[in-house]
Amino acid sequence: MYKFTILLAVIITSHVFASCDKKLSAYETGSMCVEIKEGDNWLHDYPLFLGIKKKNPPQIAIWIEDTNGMYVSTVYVSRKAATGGWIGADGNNRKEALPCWCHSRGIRNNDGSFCPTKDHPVTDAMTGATPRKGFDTYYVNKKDMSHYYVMVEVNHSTDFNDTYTKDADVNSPYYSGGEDGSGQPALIYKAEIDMASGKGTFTASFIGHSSPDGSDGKVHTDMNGISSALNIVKQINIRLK
Amino acid sequence: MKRTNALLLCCTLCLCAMAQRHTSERLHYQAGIGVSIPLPESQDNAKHLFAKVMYYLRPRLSAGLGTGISKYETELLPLYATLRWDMTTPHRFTPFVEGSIGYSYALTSSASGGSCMGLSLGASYRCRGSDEIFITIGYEHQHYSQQRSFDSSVIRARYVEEDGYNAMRIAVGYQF
Repeated sequence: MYKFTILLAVIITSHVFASCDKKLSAYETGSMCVEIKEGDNWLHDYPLFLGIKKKNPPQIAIWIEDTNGMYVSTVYVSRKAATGGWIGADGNNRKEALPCWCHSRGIRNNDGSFCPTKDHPVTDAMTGATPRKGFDTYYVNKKDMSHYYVMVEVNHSTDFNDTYTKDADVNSPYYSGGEDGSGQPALIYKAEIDMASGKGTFTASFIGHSSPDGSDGKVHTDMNGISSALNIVKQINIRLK
Repeated sequence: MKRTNALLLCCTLCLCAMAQRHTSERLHYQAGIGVSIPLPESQDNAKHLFAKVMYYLRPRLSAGLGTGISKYETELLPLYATLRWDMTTPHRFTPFVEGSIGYSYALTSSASGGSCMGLSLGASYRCRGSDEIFITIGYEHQHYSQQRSFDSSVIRARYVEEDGYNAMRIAVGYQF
């Protein structure tokens, strides 16, 4: 009888809690949704130790620029990039991870770089762990801008291939931070949001890659050596909700 | 409301356990505290307050149900089943292996719970009659999601972060 009593108490209470545990939504009326659909290489093998590998999601930054290409605000940036929380990077602050976003944001640290660090993390944007599959991020543009760009930069750590090798010389155009660096550089996607167009969905286009070694914030269009990184993201849509 | 429910659940389990304590030497009640030290890529330490009802199926094998309050970045109420196997016949010091699996419910509206599991090694010390103090150390996984947001004069941004929390958990408790 007592076993039954305990079981009943547990079942009833768990049902009460189950009914309370709701599905979260970040949706807000009138907000724009940046919908990132994962590609086949969304998860990438990151070496830990003794040959053990871990499937890591990419680092991502989403930000807004005006029609003159001037930075307006960050919508979302991965926590590691936002806090300099690189693990196993041997002190490398991974300036090659999201250089286009770092330079566009334009906040210089004490060390002269534009990358957030543990001592100078991002405090002016939403940060969080990159999900292990595609995800939606919502934003409300409080400036009521009707014409602007949504930029997305995506990068994997140690995403080496035959061109972007881990032992590339520092002076090589394919140097990407060494053994703990990027390998293939960050890729950049851009969507033009024109609210006057009457469209409800805007698809981001792939426009190039970032500086492999993170030394500048330019968009490079030479696609030599970029291979598997092209399949990190399948599609990026910005929808008016 | 959820906190009240949590309290009610704890009280129910405790009362059931204690009320039946005298009718069966097989039934035991545990209470304790724990701390989780995050593995790389998980955030912040987590703290736990737990209570369990354990039933000895065999002299060295017991199964039970547990609950409590866990404080991650958000507060969760776990509800789990647990299985403990004593590696030796009961002595003053008895090493054991314990595994648990269950689900945690969020106690705040900006979070949602998820599955939880743990596997640990422990040792108990019989201190008075069949009462014992125990310590465990092991691996813990907790999944939950929470709403992240940022608000400035330019933008208001939101997204739902799915968090897989992995940690080394150390706990101490008392069984009576």
